[in-house]
Parts: sequence; structure tokens; C-alpha cells
Amino acid sequence: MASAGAKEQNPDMTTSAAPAPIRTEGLTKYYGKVHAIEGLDLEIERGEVFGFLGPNGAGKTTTIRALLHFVFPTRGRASILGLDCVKDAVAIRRHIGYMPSEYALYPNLTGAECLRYYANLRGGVDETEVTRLATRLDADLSRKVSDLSTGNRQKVALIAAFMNRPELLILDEPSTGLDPLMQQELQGIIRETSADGRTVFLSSHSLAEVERVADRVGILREGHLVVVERVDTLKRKAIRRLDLEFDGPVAADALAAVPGVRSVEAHGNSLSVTFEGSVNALLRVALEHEVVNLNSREADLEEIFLTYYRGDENGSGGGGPGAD
Amino acid sequence: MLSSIYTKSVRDAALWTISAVVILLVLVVVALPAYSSFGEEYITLFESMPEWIAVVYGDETSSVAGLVGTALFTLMGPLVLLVYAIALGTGAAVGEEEARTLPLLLANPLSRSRVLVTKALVVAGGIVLIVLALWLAVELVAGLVGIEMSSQDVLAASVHLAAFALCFGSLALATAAWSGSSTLGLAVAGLVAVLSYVASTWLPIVESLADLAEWSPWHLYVGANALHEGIDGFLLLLTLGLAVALFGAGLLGLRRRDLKE
Repeated sequence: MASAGAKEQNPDMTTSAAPAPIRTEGLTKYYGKVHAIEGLDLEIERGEVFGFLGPNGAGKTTTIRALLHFVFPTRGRASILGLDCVKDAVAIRRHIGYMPSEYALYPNLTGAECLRYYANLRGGVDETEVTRLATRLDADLSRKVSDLSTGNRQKVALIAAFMNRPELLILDEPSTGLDPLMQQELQGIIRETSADGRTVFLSSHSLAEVERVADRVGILREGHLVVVERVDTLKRKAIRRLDLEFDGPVAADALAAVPGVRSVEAHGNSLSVTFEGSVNALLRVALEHEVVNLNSREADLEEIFLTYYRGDENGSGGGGPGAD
Repeated sequence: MLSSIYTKSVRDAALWTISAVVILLVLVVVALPAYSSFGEEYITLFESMPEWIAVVYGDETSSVAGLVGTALFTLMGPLVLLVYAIALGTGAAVGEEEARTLPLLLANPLSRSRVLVTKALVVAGGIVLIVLALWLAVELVAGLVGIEMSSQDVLAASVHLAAFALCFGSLALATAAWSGSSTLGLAVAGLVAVLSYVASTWLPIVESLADLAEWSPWHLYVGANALHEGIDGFLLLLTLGLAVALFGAGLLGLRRRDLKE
């Protein structure tokens, strides 16, 4: 069971006995011969933002649809806040906010009417919260949905997900169609939600977005969860890059033989080295030559993500850097 | 109108319901005075036609009231009601799913069953409303133009028509709910309606095939001969029972399958 500590949480919202916001055990879903997700074991902790990463077809949306009982699992089980996702689907929906990746609003209603309808169905929605969210997201709720841009429709759906201040938010590609300013605003709302002790399950293609807001990430590949790790830990374990500029040409082989070095590329008097583990041995060999300049870059989530997927292409199975 | 699924569904169905009522009212207002004025000429015309015409029209060509009954309760009434029931029955099962509004709707604490039952009740209510409008209009206009039609029998025919429409609405709903496809719901229910009408209407022309017509679903409705004999309790219960059974099957189908993305 993959799990790690989340950030400091609101004591009002958490108790040691409180059930996990999301827990799956061997969750599996096949569509005929297509294995959408296979044996997914996952536990999300209260108050964390969990980034769920993977390319199209990896199984992210299928996982979410199984959690919401839109599809039946082939095997395994899933629970939300201790409630079974199949038997207690309606009760679960009282506690969550959901933003699907594929959806439509009612074209003949205004944004405000859509939200009023959803609020009436849900009950207990504070209108001031709707107004507050609409102001923050600069949402135009007065126009008919059919006249709204994709981004404005996205804002209406986001307000619908957040307006009841749910204990758990499940967001599937929430920033699609939003301009960069609104993406930032959304990230702020997500961070505030987490700081409030509420939990956010964020499925996204945007690695930068996940990197900015997530405490932990899970990377899904072809239906298998290949890693669940804190973002900072993942970065520490990741392959890093060192660019060295010398006063003259240096043979790449000299550095390639150093333990931990994955690759060396020569460009004139410079060598670009990717490595994992300690940099000491690498530096010792490099300093045998006259180093003019040195530049070290921490791996961003995109590089980590790609590493896991390159691993697949190389036939290395589920292994990425530091994979559990 | 946005306070519940029920009121929203009533609002969504309003255009269909009003259109069906208006079509039938126009028919009544135009057809009844026309039959009242030229009915005897129609009867003479029918008398000069081949015998099989009378078989197709169910021996209703010998009186003005019979011609009115055939036009409203055997042709146009069922046509309008079945189109309404099949279209809205299909929509109740998969309309929101195909329009992709279902994920946000089901993000709220609602079960699939509750959504389907509520929407089906709206369709059933619409059918009852349309039939009620038809019955009242026939009552009023027939009285005004002097066509003698038994009020009780017109009501009986209206009740059978409503049950028949419910049955086909349930068939469309069940097919769509199991398959997740509105196309299939419309096609299956539409095809059964057309084929059963053809079978019920045209098989009696051939004497050796006449008995087969009674096995046509259309016979559930026309077999009652409600305009002359009032309510046929057995056929009415059979029709309503079938409607309920088909609805139950649809409910089961929707509860058991994966929703489409």
C-alpha cells in the first residue's frame, strides 16, 4: 500500500481514526480485452493534494469513474471516506466535489442556473461561496452556457465542484481551457483547500501544475501504478543533470565510467552528464581537468515522469529512479 | 423549475408535451367539423370501395362517429402518442448520458435509479396529460358539431391509448437503458410499433393470416375495441403490466452497466 505523510492538517478535520479519503485495494477494470487499470493499490491521506499522472489511456479517468461508481470494477474494491464506492455511491457523493474531464453543462441554462440546479440537488450550498468562487475565477454566470467559451464553462464546472466545500475533491484535468492567470488562481484555490484540511485528488496532464500544488504524486502507466511518492522525495531520487564546461576538449569516456553516471554528451568543450546518487565521485574525476563553468539542474517532474516512461520503452518494467 | 430533477425534467419535456397537445387539438378542431359536414359523403365513398378497405378500417366506415374514432384513436392519436413516448422514453434512459451532462448531475447525491424513475414519471405524466387533452377536446368539439360519441367510450379509448403509449415508452426506455444507445432505443421501439401496426392492420385482409394479427402488440390496443365496448380490463392490465415489466427491466439494465464516458 503506497502511502506517505501529508502536510500539516487542520486538526478539526482530521483524527487518527478517520478513514482515508480514498483507498483502493487491487482495483482492476477491464473493458473487454482492454486492461484499463490493473491491481491498483492506493491510499490518499487527509488534507493532501495528490497528483495523479499519466498520459492518455493510462487509466486515470477510469480510476476516477470507478471511484464514483460510474463503472463497475472487474476486481478489487475502492472506498471513499470509509464508504464503499459501489454500495455507498450516493452517500459518498454528499461528501465530495467532482469535476469530470469530459462533461457538458445544460446549453439552454445560464451558468448561474446550472449552479442553482446543482445546489438544489445537493442541498446545503452557501450562495456566498458560489459568489466568492465566481469572483475569484472571474466567471461569467449570467450568459447561457451555449454562449460561453470553453474556459468559462470550465469555470462553472469548477465552481460546481468546490461550492459545497466538500471533504474530498476529485478533479480530472481541471485546468483545461483556463488561461494561465486562471490556472494560477485555481492552483491557489487547491492549495487553500488542502490547507483547510480537505483533500484534493488531482488528475492532470499538466506536470507543472501538479508539481506546484501536489504533496504526493502517483504515476500510472498502462493501468499500473508504477510509483507513489512525495514530490520532493521523487526529485531527490531522480536522475539529475550536470553541465560542465572545460578549458579544452575532454573525452566523454572519462566521465562515463564513473559509477552513477547514466549518460554523457559532448558539445565542444562541454559535457552534459546525467547521473543519479552522489555527485562526489563525478566531481573528483571532472576536477582532474580545468573546469571553467559548472551548472547543476534539479530534475523537474516532467523529467521524472519521462524517465518512468522511457523505462517502459526500454523494457525495464515498472522501474524508474527510486521506484518502490 | 430548477428545484429538483422532476421539475427540470418537466421543463425539458414541456416543448414536446405542448407540441403533442397542440397537434392533437388542431386535429380535433379541424377534423371533427370536417367529418360532421362531409361525413355522409365519406361513408358513401367508402361504400363504393373494395371490401378490404373496410377490413383495414375495422368496420368503422359506416358512421361519422366511426370515422372520427378511426382518425383520432387508430391513426393520429397513436402516432402522436407513440412518437412522444418513444422519443422521451429513450431520452429518460440515456438523454443526459449522451449529452454528457450526466457526470456533473451524478456528482450530486443522486442514484441512477432515482434519476431514471423521476424522468420516467415525467414522461408518464406527459402521456396522461396529452390523452386527457385529447379526451376533453373530443368531448367538447364532438358536442359542438353534433357528432354522437359516447363520453365513456371515448374516455375508455383514451385510457387504453395512454396505456399503449406507456408500453412503447417503456420498451424504448428499456432498450436504451440496457444498451446505452438512444439510436437503438428509437430503432427497436419504432420498428416494433410500425411492424405491429402493419401486422394488426393488414394481416386481417388475408383470411388465413387474420388470427395472427391478434399476436401483434398493436392488438393490445385495438383489440380492446374500447370506442364501442369500453375498457377491456384484461387487455388494459396486460398492457400496463407489460409497461411496468419493461420499465423494471430498463431500471435493472441501467443499474448494472457501466455508464458511457
